[in-house]
Amino acid sequence: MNVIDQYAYMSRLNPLSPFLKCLTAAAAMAACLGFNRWLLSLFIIVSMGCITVLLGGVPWKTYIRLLLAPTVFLLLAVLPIVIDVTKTPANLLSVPFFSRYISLSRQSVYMGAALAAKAMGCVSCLYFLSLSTPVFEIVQVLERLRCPRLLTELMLLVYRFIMIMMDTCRSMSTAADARLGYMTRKTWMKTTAMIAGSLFLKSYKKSSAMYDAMEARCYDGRLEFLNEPKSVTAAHAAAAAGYTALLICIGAVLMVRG
Amino acid sequence: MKIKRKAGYIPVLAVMAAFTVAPVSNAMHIMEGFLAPAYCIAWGLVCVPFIVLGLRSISRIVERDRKTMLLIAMCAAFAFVLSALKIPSVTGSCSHPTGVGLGAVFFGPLATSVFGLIVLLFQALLLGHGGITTLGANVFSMAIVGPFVSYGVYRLVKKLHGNQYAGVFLAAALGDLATYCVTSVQLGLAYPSPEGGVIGAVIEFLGVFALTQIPLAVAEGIVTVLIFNLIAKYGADETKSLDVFYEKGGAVR
Repeated sequence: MNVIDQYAYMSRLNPLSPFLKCLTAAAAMAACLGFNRWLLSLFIIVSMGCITVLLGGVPWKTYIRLLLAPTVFLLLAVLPIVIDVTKTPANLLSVPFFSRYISLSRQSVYMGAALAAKAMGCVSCLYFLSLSTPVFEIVQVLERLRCPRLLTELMLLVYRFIMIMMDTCRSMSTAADARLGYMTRKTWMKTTAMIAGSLFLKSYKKSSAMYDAMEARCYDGRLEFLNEPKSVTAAHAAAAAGYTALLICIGAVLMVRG
Repeated sequence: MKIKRKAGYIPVLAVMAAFTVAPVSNAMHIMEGFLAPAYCIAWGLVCVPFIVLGLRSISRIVERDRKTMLLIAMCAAFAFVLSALKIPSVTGSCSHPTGVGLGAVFFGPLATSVFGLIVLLFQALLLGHGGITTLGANVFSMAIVGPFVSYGVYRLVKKLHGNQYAGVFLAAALGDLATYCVTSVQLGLAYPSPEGGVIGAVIEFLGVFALTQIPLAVAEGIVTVLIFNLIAKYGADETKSLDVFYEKGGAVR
């Protein structure tokens, strides 16, 4: 269920400084959104894919499956942008609809495709970050960026709880499945609700037990975690800067050529 | 106390089956990179006051009772895990409950918006649902408008002495519908159609997403009622401090 985090820990890019990775991902995303050129988006999709798969060591199949995760949204959301209801027929395809036309114009198709490429470019940047950097380190970066302490602490707690609950949830749903809990839609609904309800109660009890344990260890409202600083080496910094510069160059060239 | 399950189920399932096959997943999250930078920043700024107020309310609660911090974190994790559970939605497809309605009923909308932010960030990082650049827009639709509507509906039903389960169902379902409307408006604003303008685009987005979101809202309502029922039945003592249940059988306060 939680493959992304698993790959982040195993990634060969994991030893790199999280700051550098966040910065690179952010710069690539900004270039993708800011220049808004479909060729640049394609380049980002391919290059980020290669970085994540070849350098990071994520299997191709997993990566493609992850990339396909937002496609449903993409298809549904691009549809109204590509197809339009107009008074005059458009140049590519028009279907009469009452007194108007449901039409598909060349510009709208181009716009939809460019938008899809841009969105997928940003998704590949997001995956570059999340498939190489554990959540814990991303929270550290946020802390460094002066994110309120209450928020970052909550995030770490939530992350810990998610891991515990995912485990419990998985074993509960295996047990339910073994007892034919997912046979029909009706039992499925009931099973889901039962799992969710008992998960809630179980976790509720667990959280109060955890509080007692923390209190016993002198919890005074601050959570301290061991953090191992990962330093930025010159080679890594140069690679990141070079990649960003390349993206900006490509974007600038595409802008100038129109 | 016992919810009339059999009577409620069948017509609702029939209505759901009437919606034809649609591939459903977390289609409510606006995906990464879908909005132009100006919209990303604008929606982010809109969320800031709510998050600040939410953090303030949480820190005030935490000062009084530190245990609540863990409770809130637990609920955020619960909402996340819930969103990874599949529920049957339309013929041959699945969808995910959002769990935000439940949070709003239990903790109020301000605290819910803070943990909604965390849940959405983790969903982007760990599941690839939604994204970093569209976090602001998603937080506004799912963690601010949705919970406020849910909370308002639940309080209203409570005030009118309506059935508790009807209140929970309406809170969860209407919260989801509100989220779906806000998402459509956000998309329409960002991508107005050349002839119909913003309003035309909003209508188009509403139409397309109705396929997935209306069955989802109904399914989420049902699941939330069932979860609520279970918690009321077995966890009344533990959740006494939350001041939620108001009918006989639950913890009357």
